[in-house]
Amino acid sequence: MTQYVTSFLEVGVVFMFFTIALNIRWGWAGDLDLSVFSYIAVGAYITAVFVAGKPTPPDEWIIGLRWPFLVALLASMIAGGALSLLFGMLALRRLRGDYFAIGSLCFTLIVYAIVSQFLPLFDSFQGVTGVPQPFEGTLKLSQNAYDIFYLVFSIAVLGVVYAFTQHIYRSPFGRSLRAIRDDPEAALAFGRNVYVSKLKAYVIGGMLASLGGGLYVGILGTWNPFAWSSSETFLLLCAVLIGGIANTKGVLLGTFIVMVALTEATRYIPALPGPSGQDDSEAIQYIIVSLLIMAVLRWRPQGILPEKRDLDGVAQSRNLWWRPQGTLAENRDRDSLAESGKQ
Amino acid sequence: MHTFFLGVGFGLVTASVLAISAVALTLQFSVTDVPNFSHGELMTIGAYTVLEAQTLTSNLVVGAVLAAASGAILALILNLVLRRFMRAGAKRFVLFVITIAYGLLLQNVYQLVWGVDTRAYTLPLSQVHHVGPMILTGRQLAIIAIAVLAMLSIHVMLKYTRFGKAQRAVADNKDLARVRGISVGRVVTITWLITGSMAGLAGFILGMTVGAITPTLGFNFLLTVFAAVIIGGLGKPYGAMAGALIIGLVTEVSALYIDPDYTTVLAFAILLLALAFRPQGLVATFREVQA
Repeated sequence: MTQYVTSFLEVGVVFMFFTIALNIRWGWAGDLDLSVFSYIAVGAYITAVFVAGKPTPPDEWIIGLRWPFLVALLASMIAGGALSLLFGMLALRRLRGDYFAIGSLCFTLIVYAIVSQFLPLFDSFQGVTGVPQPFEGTLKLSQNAYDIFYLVFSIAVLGVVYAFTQHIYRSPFGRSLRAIRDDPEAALAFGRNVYVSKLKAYVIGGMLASLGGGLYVGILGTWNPFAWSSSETFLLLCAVLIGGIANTKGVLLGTFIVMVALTEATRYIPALPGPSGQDDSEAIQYIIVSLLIMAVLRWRPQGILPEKRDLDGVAQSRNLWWRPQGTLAENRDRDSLAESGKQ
Repeated sequence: MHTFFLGVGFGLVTASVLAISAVALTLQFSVTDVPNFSHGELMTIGAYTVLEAQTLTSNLVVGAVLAAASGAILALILNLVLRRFMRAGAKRFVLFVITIAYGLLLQNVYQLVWGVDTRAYTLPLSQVHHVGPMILTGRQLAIIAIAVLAMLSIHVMLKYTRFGKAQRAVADNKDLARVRGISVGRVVTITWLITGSMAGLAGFILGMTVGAITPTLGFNFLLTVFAAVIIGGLGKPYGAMAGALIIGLVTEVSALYIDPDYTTVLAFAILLLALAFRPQGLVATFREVQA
């Protein structure tokens, strides 16, 4: 039982890195990013090749070092940041909203195609294997004690990341990010560089996603194209929406709820014999996720823990999800103004 | 040179599938103002419907009609869902996320119903024809003919019918259209009906050309459709036709010269570059040039 709980919590903590990353990009900077999982994967791959050592002949992967795990994590963050910078510089200059989402999905599929087809990079479909358990050599603990140690280690790193994101949120940079999200034209008029701020947020998100990916590969011990796909991004999306978009505490709560709901709910659904006798639990999970997304957006779009606004109580003219309450004509004027400003 | 024209032939077939799908997506976007991420799933249902229909009849025309109907039904359901959100005042971006969720829902329902295994149609052998330097089967020629016919009927509908005029008015400015007595809600619903049926039909043809039907058939094709749509300029049906031709030819002809695994990468790269540098489409309309 403890083993089940620790392994469940380990995965949960790792997913919290992913949702924090998505939240910085989507909740704070306002760009729905469907490519989060490619940064997670790059983080996992880079960490793996830095610790797994040289591949045995039929396998091939780059780098192949046996460096300490912490150095590998650092390298994966640099790689994730660099990749974010590359795509961000291309996409964030011109693309907003749905265009950006489509562009990011495109980017994920390109990364996926290259990683899974180009053998010398990360051994295509075999993936990088033989990642040793981090710190195992120096600690020499029993498996149970080791699991608890790794959980505590991940939580400690998560704590640092949480403190860091809260610091950013309260900083002038965080405030200008939210201003840009809520009203780019006004922020521009006050001298904020929309593109650079969004790019910074995007790179920070990419680095955190890669860090999470690195910790994830520490648990799994191997990483290949079957371990990630673009549709897993929708799990993260659902968690962020349920918990409360743009509120880091809410996002952590949302991740936990989604994790528990999915693993526990599918446990009690009787295994119906599918048409080909395959395992349907994943399909059922995604069906639950998609219904949850729709329900949350319909009845509680701000999530369980809504974002605290700087000007709560003061009249708000803009909202991320819904049109402001006002007369129809006023709304239409404001919307058409906003639309014409965008073009 | 001979293989080059072989590639051009395949390119025309791919472009035909793309054109039907892309024109549907772009027309639906321009009239309803919803970027529909579940368009791929509307295609997939068409492919599976024909698969089921084949157990009853081998007549492909009946199959095509059923495929179109199934796509239309799912599109109308989506329209009903979206309308509830619109009435509550949801912004366009919320609607986009809703279509993502709807697509995810459908894709996994397909997986529950039909399983993950690859399926294929049982088709009679088709005669081979030499058309100029290209070699095409009779079925491929029929696909091209269907696409040309669909494009012509869209053209006639938009330019010469009262309904087409209403569609263009709604696409241009909903409020002005309403002032002129056009029932915007009805135009939107009928547009979903038309574009959904086109998507279903495109899915059936896609299943026939690819020869492997899976729950992700349409989703995997979606970004290629978006590539065609965005190259032509989002919301411009004639642009989408040109975009489909470009993407279809580029992916198929390039498959002769580079590793076929990377041809979709090429399409996505074109889409990314088009998005980054010319999101208004390659051919700007007259008004945009003036502005």
